[in-house]
Amino acid sequence: MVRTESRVPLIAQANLILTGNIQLVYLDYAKNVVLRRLTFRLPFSHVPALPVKLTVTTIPTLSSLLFREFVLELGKLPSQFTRSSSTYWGLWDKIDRFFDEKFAERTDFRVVIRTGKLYDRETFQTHVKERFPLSARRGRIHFETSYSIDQHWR
Amino acid sequence: MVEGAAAEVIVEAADEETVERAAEDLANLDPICAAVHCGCMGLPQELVDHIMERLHDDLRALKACSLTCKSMFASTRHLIHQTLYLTLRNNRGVPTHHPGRGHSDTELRFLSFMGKRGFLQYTRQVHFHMGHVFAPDFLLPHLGQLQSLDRVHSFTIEACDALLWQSHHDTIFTHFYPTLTSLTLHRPLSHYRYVLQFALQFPNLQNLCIEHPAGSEWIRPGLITPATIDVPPPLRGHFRLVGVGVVRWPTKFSYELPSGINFRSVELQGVPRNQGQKIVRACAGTLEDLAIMLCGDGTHRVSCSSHCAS
Repeated sequence: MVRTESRVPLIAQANLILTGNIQLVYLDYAKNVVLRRLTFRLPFSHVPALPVKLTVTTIPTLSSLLFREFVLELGKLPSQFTRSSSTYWGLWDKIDRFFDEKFAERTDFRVVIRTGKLYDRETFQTHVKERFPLSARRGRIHFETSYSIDQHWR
Repeated sequence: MVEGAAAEVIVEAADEETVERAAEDLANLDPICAAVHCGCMGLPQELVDHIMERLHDDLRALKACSLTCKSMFASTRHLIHQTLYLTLRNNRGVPTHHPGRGHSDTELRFLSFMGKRGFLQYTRQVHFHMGHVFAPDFLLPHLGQLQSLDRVHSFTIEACDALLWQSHHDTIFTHFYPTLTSLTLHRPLSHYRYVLQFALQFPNLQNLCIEHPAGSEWIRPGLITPATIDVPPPLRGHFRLVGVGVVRWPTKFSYELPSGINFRSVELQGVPRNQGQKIVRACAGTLEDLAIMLCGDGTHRVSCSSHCAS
C-alpha cells in the first residue's frame, strides 16, 4: 500500500490550527515537579508545524528534575521519504539544541521516536538523526515500533 | 496452531525461574504423584496456568487451548470469561421467547444467559455497548444477575445517560463499589455534572476515561457540584479526556473536578487549552506521564482499557 507523501509544513500547520488541537501544545509544566515523560501523538504530516512553538512555549517550562523522556508517537507515515529531512521535520534541530543544553547532565534522558510499521526504516532513521544531531551523538535517540499505532491511526 | 502458540510461550518462559522451579518440583515428585498432578504434556498445573496467563489478551488462542485438555480448560476458563461484552451482537445470539425489540426482559438477555451458566463469577471487566442509551430500565429486570458481578474492576459504558441514573447511585451499583477501579464513559449524555457525579459515586475509582461527552447544558436546579463531594474517590491512576467532535465544550468541566485528584498519568485530546491546563495543574504533585494527542480528525483512539487494567 502506497501512502501519500508528507505535506509541506504550512499545510500541516494550517491543519493543526483548524482542528483546534494545536492549543494543547501550549501547556505550562512549570508546576509539574514529578513529570517524567511527555508524549506527543500526531500524524507525521503535522511534525514540521510544531517545533518553533514548542521551543518558545512548552519545553522551557519543563522544570521537573525527574523528566527523562520526550516521546514523539507518529502515525500515518509515508511509504517513502524522497525529500530532504528538513521538509519532513522542519526546525526540530532547535528542539535538539534545547534538549542538549537543558538536559546536558542527565545521562539517562532520551528522545523516543515511536512509529508503526516503516517501509523505509533506514531513511527515516537517517532523517531523525539529521534533525537531532546532538542527541544522536550522545546516543539519546531511541526508535520504537508499535504495530498498534497503525491500527489507531487507520 | 494451538501447539505452536503454547510452544512459543514455553520458549519465551524458558529462561525464567518458573521453568527451573517447575523442573525442581517435578523432580521432587514421585512417579505416581506426578502422574496424578501433571496437567498437560507432563507440565504441572502451575506452569500451565502461567502459560495461559501470558495469553490473557489473546481470546482466540485461549479458546483453542481450552479445547486441548482438562488442565488447559480449567486454567483458561476464568481468562476467557473475564470480560463480559453486553453488546447487541451477543444479545442476538441468545434465543428469546419475546421476538422484536423493546421488551425490557429481553434487552439484556445475554447477561441472564451468562449468569444461568455460572460464567459471571469470572467477570472482571464489563463492556456495555447495546446501540442505545444506557438507562436503568434495561438493567432493572436483570438486577439479580447484575449484582452477582461482585469482582468487576473495569466498567466501560457507551452512551450513559447520567441524569437517569442520578437516583440509582446507591442501589444498583453498590456491589461494584468495593472493587471497581476503572470507568470509561464513551459519549456520555446529560450535563457534565451528572456525568462526573455518576463517575465519582465509585469510592475506589482510580482510572477515569471520558470520551466525546455529548451532554446538553441543561441542569436541574439544586444539584451539588462534583467539586464539593465530601469524600471523592482516590483518582490516582490514569485519566483520559477526549473532546474531539464536541461542538460546545462545557466551559467548567475541568473546573468541577474534585480538588483531591492525584492522577499519575493523563491523556488529553481535543480539549480546550485552559481546561487541559487546569487538569495538568490539578495533578501537579503527582503527574508523571502526560500524553497529548495532536491529531486532526479525531479518529485516533487509544484503548483506555489497557491503561486502566494496568
